[in-house]
Amino acid sequence: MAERTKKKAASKKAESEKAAPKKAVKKTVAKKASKTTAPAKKTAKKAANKSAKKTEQNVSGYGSGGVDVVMSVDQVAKEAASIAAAAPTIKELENLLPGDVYLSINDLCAGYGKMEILHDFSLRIGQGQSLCLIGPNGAGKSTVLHSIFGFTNIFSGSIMVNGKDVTSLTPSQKLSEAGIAYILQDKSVFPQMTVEENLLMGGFLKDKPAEAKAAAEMVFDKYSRLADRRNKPAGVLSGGERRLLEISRALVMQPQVLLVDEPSIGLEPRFIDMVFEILEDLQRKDGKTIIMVEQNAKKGLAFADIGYVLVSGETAIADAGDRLLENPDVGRLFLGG
Amino acid sequence: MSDPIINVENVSKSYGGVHANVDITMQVERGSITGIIGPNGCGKTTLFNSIVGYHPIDQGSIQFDGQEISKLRVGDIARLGMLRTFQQTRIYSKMDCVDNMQISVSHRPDSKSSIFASRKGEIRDRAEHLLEFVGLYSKRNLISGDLSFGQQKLLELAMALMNEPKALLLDEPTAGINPTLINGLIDRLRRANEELGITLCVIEHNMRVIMNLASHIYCLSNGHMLADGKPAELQNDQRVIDAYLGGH
Amino acid sequence: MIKSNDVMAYGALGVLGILGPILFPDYTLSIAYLWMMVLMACTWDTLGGQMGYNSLGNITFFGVGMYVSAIVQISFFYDGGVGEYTSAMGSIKPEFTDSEYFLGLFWGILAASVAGLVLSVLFSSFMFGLRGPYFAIGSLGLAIAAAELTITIDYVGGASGISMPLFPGDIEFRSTFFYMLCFGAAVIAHFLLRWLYSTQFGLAINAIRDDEDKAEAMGIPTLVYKRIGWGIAAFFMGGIGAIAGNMAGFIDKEVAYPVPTFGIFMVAMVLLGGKGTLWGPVLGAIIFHVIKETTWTYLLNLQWVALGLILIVNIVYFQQGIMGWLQAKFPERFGIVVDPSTTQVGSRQGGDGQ
Repeated sequence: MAERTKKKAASKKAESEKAAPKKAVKKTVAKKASKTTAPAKKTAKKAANKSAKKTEQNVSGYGSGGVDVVMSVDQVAKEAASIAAAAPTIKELENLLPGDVYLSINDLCAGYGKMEILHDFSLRIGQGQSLCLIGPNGAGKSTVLHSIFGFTNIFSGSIMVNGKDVTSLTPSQKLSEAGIAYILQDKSVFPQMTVEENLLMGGFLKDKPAEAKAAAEMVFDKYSRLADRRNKPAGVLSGGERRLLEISRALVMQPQVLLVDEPSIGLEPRFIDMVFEILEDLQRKDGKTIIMVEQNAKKGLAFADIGYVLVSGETAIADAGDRLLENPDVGRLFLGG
Repeated sequence: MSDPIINVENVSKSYGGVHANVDITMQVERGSITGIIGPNGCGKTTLFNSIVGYHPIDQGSIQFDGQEISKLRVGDIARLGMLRTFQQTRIYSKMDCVDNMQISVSHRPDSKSSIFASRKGEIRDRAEHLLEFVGLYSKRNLISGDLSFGQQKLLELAMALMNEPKALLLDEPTAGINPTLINGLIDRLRRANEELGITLCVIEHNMRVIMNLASHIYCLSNGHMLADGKPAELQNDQRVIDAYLGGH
Repeated sequence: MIKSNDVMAYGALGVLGILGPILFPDYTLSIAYLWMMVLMACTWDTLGGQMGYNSLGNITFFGVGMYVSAIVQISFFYDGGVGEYTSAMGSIKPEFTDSEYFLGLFWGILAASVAGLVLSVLFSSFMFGLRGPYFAIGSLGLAIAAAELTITIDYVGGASGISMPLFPGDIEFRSTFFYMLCFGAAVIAHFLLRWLYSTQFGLAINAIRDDEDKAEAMGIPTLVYKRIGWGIAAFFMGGIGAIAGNMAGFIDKEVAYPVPTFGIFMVAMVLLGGKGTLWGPVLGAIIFHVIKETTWTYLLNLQWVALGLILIVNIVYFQQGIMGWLQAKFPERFGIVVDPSTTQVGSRQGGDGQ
């Protein structure tokens, strides 16, 4: 409660500071961007516990702040390209992990049809970690998730999960054998089926329907909100409940890895925090590995252990989530100031 | 309210047993930027649809620029100068960006372009200029269906500006857009409003956007008008916090 | 804007068009029908490929035009009138002078074209409330209704049909003359449509195809464009119907309203060549016609099996048609710009595609 009033006071101050409506200033000087300007905060190879230190940067809803940092798309691309020129090496990517690599993407070139969106893309994440992909629109963030799950044309490169090469598995194999589940971007419930039926559909690949039913019951035990509405058609659920259903439907197959595409898109502020709490619970308590794309970048980076900034199909910067939040270049180019 | 360009009076709309809009009254001041917020399913998009003539209303009256429009359909209202953008971005996906822009030219009776006008010339120049305005100039010859989601949203906005409407209703224009680009969008919306004199009415969930953009905000909940006022007032309104903003 | 691709294509077609009947006089009428198919395909594509309204009833205007032309040609110079002529069932053979014949033919074709146009405007008032498959079936219904209605009208010969006035001249001249009419009509239609697609009109009908609701919401008066598009197609279909009737020499319901053959062929040709492209219908018509003629020579009745197979293979495996396939494989040659930063080159491009 005290935090809320403190935050309100802070945003009110920020509001009054910007009281005189300034005309947006276009930054025309291309600053020579450096990769990280990490402040004096010491950041060891920690397993990113949500300590009291992290709650200082707690972002609620879509975050607050001003809108005065205006840069053209091309300008962002130019500055980001100069950052990307000093792209992170594999060693640096692995340094962000507390232990072994669980899921890795190696020099992936992938895209749709003849279009190649990702160029030599690499990724490392450890078991039970969370990673957030941010970056300009069209950079290829959703393409990364699509590629892991098997929705794209993979021209070269590989994807390994727990030592196994899963690059060429079909999406259903990814779900049933490799333990990877994909949660789509918005509005993917079956609106005319009930909540329970939606969950059962999540278990479609199980060998026996009884197994799916048992798994659905486990989901209902975990989330009483859904249990209360088990017989209602999914289309009448509110936005937050729908997102909850989409996430828990993916849990029916008991995956190890969750690919979440824009968890907070189109959600009203009070449900955004709820969805991230659910994801955090899944990561901490159930040990799921979470890779997400999130345009609400501040919230995504505040949540995730690791953040990758993608620009034009390549990783420009990779660092711990909260370090990226504090990086002024990242803030200016990708977080809106 | 001195000069409302859009006047909504006691509008109600139900369908399928759901009372989507109940007795809604609101005004959009000419030349202003007005915001509409509220939980999902509270009736925001239904209200937009009612205003632009997507469906008939059950009760009430809607006036645009002094003219009663509640019985008119989408095309007629668009030709009177009121456009809307869609929540799920809609563009002409098989045509390239410049063509998308060119066909978005105003089709009002007083506009200068004719059916058989050539595709080169003044219209094309204006189209390219507006594409530059939204930052899509380098993509102007690409097929619009190949653009990324955020780029398509920018194109949709540029198309609306090309039409030179008097009023523009925007349905969640920043959903799924990168934060820095959001700043750019807001900047352009502000400039369209100030320089081109287009009245804006915006549905938004992103409070950072709406607080920095709108001068007056209406909050809907459960089909009813819950509260309205200046941004700072609404942010501290307990009803709005309970129904919508949340916060812990 | 004529590009080098186009110059080559027009050159080749021009050679075919002008030299064809000279080099292969036996095939003159066959090539004439080729141009007729080209015209049918191009005009069908205006509504079907460019605007997204698949009409199965364009043949209606063909048939109506044929009959209107017959009425005009006969009534102009035969004092007894059409009714008397048709009820005589072929026993009356009017003698027209050369100039009377050609004048009558001219007015006949003109009247036929206008009749097609007027009819399409009438249809537009209720047909364009239908979308997608409903429009297709509805237009098919129009064609069938027109055919059935015609045979009930004794004035135009009912089920017995009408004998067209005899062409004054020998067979070679006749073939060449009608060949030139068909070729000329196809050329005019093609260039008119080419110009049309280069204007705002072309953009408007494409917008209706891509997202009609969006077009309406942006203030485009879609009904106006639909009317004009169908009107142009109907105008040319009426005209070519008149020409076809005179070529056949005798018209009846089967000749005027060949729904299951030409009515469907025009769709098949466009699908084969590539819907919604300038050259697709032309290419599709030529290939289809050549296949049709050769299978007839070598397969006789199995021709229909062959044509049916082509249709099925086209729809199942090759929906984008030849032009669509070419445009996907070689986009730059057709002026389609592909984002350079996403092309399959493999190596790091760095920066946005500028």
